[in-house]
Amino acid sequence: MKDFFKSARFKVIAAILAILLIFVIVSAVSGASSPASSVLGVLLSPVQKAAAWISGELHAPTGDAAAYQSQIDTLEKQVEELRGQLADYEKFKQENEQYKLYLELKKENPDFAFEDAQIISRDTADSFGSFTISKGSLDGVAVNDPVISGKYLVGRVFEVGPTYAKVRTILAPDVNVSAYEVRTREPGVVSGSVELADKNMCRMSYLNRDTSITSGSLVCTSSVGGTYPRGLIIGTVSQVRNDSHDISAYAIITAGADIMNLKDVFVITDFRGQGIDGSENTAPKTETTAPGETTSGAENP
Amino acid sequence: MMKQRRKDIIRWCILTLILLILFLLQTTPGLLPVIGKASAMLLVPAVVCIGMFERETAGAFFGLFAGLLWDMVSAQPAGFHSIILMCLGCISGLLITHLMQNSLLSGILLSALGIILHTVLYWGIFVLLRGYAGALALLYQQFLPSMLYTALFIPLLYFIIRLLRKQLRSPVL
Repeated sequence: MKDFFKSARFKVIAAILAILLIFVIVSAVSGASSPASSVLGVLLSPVQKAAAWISGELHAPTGDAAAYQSQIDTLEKQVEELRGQLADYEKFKQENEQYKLYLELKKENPDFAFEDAQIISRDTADSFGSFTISKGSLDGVAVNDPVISGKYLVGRVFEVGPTYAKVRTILAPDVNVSAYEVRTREPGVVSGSVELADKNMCRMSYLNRDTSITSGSLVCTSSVGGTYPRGLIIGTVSQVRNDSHDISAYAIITAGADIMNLKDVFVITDFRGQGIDGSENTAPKTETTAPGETTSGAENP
Repeated sequence: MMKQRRKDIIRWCILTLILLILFLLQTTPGLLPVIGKASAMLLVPAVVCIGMFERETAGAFFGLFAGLLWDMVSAQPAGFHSIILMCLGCISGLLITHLMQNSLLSGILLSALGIILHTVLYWGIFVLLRGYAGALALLYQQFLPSMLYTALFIPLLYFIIRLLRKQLRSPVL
């Protein structure tokens, strides 16, 4: 074994490890991806898209097979055709529902610029549903762009490659979204938590102890911070509790989008007020993550 | 000699393809079933098994390749998976060369240790050190089942890589 540690091979491996370690530190500080991963990302995104397409076809609704089997032989061919049509119908119906919501949102907000994207992969080690989409900087997607499904907020882009982008969801504890409750207009900050993520829930913090927010209330994004446009639906309030650590209360919110099972999303690549934090401090849209952005949403209510 | 070199290259190409397929299976939503909260991290045992058969240098480079693939879709700072998998590939190769016999049992043992090491480091760095509430619950509810789920694939991966090695054997080892 000593020979190996003295050999040139070991020195090469150690050098690569040292370079990777530098990338980890740089990436942790700046949020940039490693060049090797970026190149692989560009090369492999068509393969990932193909794999996502195969997965979609495998899981397309197939109808009630047992019922079809009871049909007489002469009708089997016809049944197969109908099953195929039904699968397409269900698929298109789902897509249609999403596009309908998207169209409503587009009508209500003519300043929004959208980019539709397919979810091509998910990080199996991540507990908060982060995923990679099929669009990147070549399609106008940039870091901090909001990601939605229908009218519902899903998360925001935290890393962009030329043909792909990574999205961190609102279920993650390090994503903070400035929000307000629609009826009372009470502001708060929505972020994820370990206990709630698998239930597709997040929490809205910093509410007044005597808050009049009740179960069933709708929570939307406020434009404070300039990362998210005003009025995107985050979800509905399930419970309101008093915070044991301070004098505030918090609400548990069920996310409007089924974040863990999404297949397609829309990225809002431009909207009025993007990057303007509501005060005199403005930050233009950037192609790379600002320092510290990978660990914090950097928005305050 | 030339013939053997050609065999080596073919074997490495197939191993690269296997890693690519495992990466797609692991990360493409819907291709591999998620049981409860458990999802399989196939690249870890695959890299360990490759290290066992290809030895330390090739193991390290296959680990690097698998890690770069994983980093590409990871929610965490780029480089974490590359470093861990590169080390795992290299160490498993070294252990088989100098300390252990190459058998299914040692494959299961080394792969299981690799899965535990990878998961505990990931959990420790990206969940525990960040101070998330409920970190321990996450370890039991998600990471532990994921480790067990991944371990189910170890024998299959070991036999695939062993078969490849037998079919395209190098006289050097």
